[in-house]
Amino acid sequence: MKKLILIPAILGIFFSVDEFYRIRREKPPESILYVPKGKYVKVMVMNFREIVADYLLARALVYFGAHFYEKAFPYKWLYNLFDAATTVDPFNREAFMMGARLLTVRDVHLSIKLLKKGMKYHSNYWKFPEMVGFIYFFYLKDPAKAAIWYDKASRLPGHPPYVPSLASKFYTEAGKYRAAIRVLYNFYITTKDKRLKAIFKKDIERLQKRLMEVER
Amino acid sequence: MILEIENVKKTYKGKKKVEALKGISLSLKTGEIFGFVGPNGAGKTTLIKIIAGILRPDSGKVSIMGKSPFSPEGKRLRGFLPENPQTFRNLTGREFLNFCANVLGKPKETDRLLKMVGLEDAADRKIKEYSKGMLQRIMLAQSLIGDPPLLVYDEPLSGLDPIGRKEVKEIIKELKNQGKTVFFSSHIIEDVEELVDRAAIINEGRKIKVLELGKPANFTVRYFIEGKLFTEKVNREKLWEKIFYIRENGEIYEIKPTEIQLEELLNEGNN
Amino acid sequence: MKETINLSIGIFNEYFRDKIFYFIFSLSLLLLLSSFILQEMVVGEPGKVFKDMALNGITLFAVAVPVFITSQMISNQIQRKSIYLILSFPFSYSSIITAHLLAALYIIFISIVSYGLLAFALILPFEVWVLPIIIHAFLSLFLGLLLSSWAILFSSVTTTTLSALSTFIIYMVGSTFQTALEYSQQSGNPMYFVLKIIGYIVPNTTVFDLKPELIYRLNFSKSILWLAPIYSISAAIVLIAISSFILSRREL
Ligand SMILES: Nc1ncnc2c1ncn2[C@@H]1O[C@H](COP(=O)(O)OP(=O)(O)OP(=O)(O)O)[C@@H](O)[C@H]1O
Ligand SMILES: [Mg+2]
Repeated sequence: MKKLILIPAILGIFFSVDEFYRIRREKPPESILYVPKGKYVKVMVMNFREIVADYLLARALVYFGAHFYEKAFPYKWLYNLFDAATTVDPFNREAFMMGARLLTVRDVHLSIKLLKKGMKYHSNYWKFPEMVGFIYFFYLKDPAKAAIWYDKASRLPGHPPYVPSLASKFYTEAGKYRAAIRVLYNFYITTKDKRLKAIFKKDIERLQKRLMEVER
Repeated sequence: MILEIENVKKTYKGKKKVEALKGISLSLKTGEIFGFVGPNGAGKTTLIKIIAGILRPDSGKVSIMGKSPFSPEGKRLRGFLPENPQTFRNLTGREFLNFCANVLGKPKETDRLLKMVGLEDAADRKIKEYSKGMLQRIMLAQSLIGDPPLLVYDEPLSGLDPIGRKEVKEIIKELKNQGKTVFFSSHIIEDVEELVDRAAIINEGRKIKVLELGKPANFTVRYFIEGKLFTEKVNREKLWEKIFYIRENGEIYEIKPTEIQLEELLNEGNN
Repeated sequence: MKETINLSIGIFNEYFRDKIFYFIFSLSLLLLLSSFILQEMVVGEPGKVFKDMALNGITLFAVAVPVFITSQMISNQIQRKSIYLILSFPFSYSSIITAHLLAALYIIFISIVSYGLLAFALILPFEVWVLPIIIHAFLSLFLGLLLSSWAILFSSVTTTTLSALSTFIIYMVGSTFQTALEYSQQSGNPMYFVLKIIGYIVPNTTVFDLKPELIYRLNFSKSILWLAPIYSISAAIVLIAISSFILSRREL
């Protein structure tokens, strides 16, 4: 009597195993291994910083690619990856820029955070404040703040002429004519390009007129 | 007859075949204490496991009041104490007895049993903290759950100190007074002599003889004749004759039943 | 049946109070603690470390209880000779085996539930994460039943060490089985059919593991939720029958 229960049991095994063979399972898109935080990695990697940083960057890019179209895009994790990569190797300026650009897709404040971190290591690099300025202007629609950052960029060596001109443009938009003139004037006296000097001189005169009109 | 064993044979089929029982027959009367005596390896435990329904014999028949010892009914008719008892270690004595009663579907008489085996004080301690004697006693208590008429004990006295032995002996005597039938094994004949009504002697899987231990068969008589001490073994029938003879010629010093020597009995069996 | 359950409760008490259980319990606490440390040390999605630890800890119990506790149940009692008392009780061999298996199941259930609650509380600051834990706990319970049935079988056949080892091996084999099947399928070799037949015997433990689906919110076939229990209960019945047959044949 008791042994009869074996029959449904054996059938149950065959049935369920057959079904298991039929079931297809989705694979997770990209298995995420844990990535240690930058400050801990830094202790661990010793002299192989660059390699590890490159590896972390690569991981970040793969991760970005895999998750780009997802709604619940875990951008914080992306930030952490770039944070780790740039902590391990802060001399790779491109890493800051790349991270900042990718992060603008979801959260520009994280981009700004990463760029500010970059400025600590590269205080003479004009591209970081320029990018922050661009973010304030383009994404956050805040010309006043954008102007301040372009202004900062325009004081650093190697910046192209559009930087001071944009700084003055944003100052003008924000109604700060004196600051706008000052930026242009600084560029006017430092540049050796005659053609540029002529263009800037015109701009300064135009702004001075506006300023006098406003002050009257 | 409460327990009947007919021509039971058992061969262990391990790597080496061991003929543990070569045809044993016994029968127990209700209310007697029956000893089962033999040296190490005689097959005592093997037979007791068969009676307890743990091990199947190759051939032969065992019945407890007409029931098979392997049937649930048969198992409910006997209490069992294994050799070198071991059991759950993390239960307390009280929990263990309650558990056994529960499992067997018998009424809980935990307090009465604890009192009977003298474990009231240790009832709430874990069994793993028990001494060997205490373990033996809690297992004795377990065998009494549900008041079975037949009790099968494998070496209930082994491994105990003199006080422990005395306590267990008292319990067995008490069980006899309650009208239970006790079947127990031992390899020490003195223990058996003190407790039992009848005993079977077995060796190498064969029954050698059944002794009636109520009346001693031989007496050792020590006496002085003309200042010299003599020791002599005298048969029961010749005892009075000998006593009269000594009284005429000398002085009686001591008369006592002769201790049965297991070796002698075993030699008898071999011859 | 009532007797079997009574028996299983006694066995459960015996093992639940054993040190080995506390060992596993402290192991799980250690796991949770280390998830705090890990959370601090690695970059990852918020709470993912805790989610991983929650599900993996539950699996740990479903595997460790069979390997360390169930596999010892019969063999240890045979070694200690404490099995004679239970064998002398008026039960069939199959109810004795079933009672042990039930006791193991209680232990797995209690440990999974308590660990699951703890893990739930840890994840709460990040997310209300209930259903995945419940689904995983449910499947893990049946994984535990399946592995315990194997453990009981080994336990009735061999010594304590060997049966623990065998249980672990069967788990390892079972958890790599799916991968082997997939690889052989891709290369289209005859091994695939051999493996498929072996699959009726070897437990495919991957089936009980929906961790990736649950953590990454992927779709999974809901039929697993009733197929896995059918599989593990059927296998348990067959394994109980085999174990009790073997135990009844052993000359103890
Ligand atoms: N499980 C077993 N497998 C194989 N042989 C066994 C087994 N149990 C006992 N034997 C053998 O059977 C014979 C009888 O053993 P048994 O245990 O019945 O003796 P015993 O009279 O109880 O001895 P003791 O006084 O030492 O307890 C012995 O030779 C023993 O080696
Ligand atoms: Mg013995």
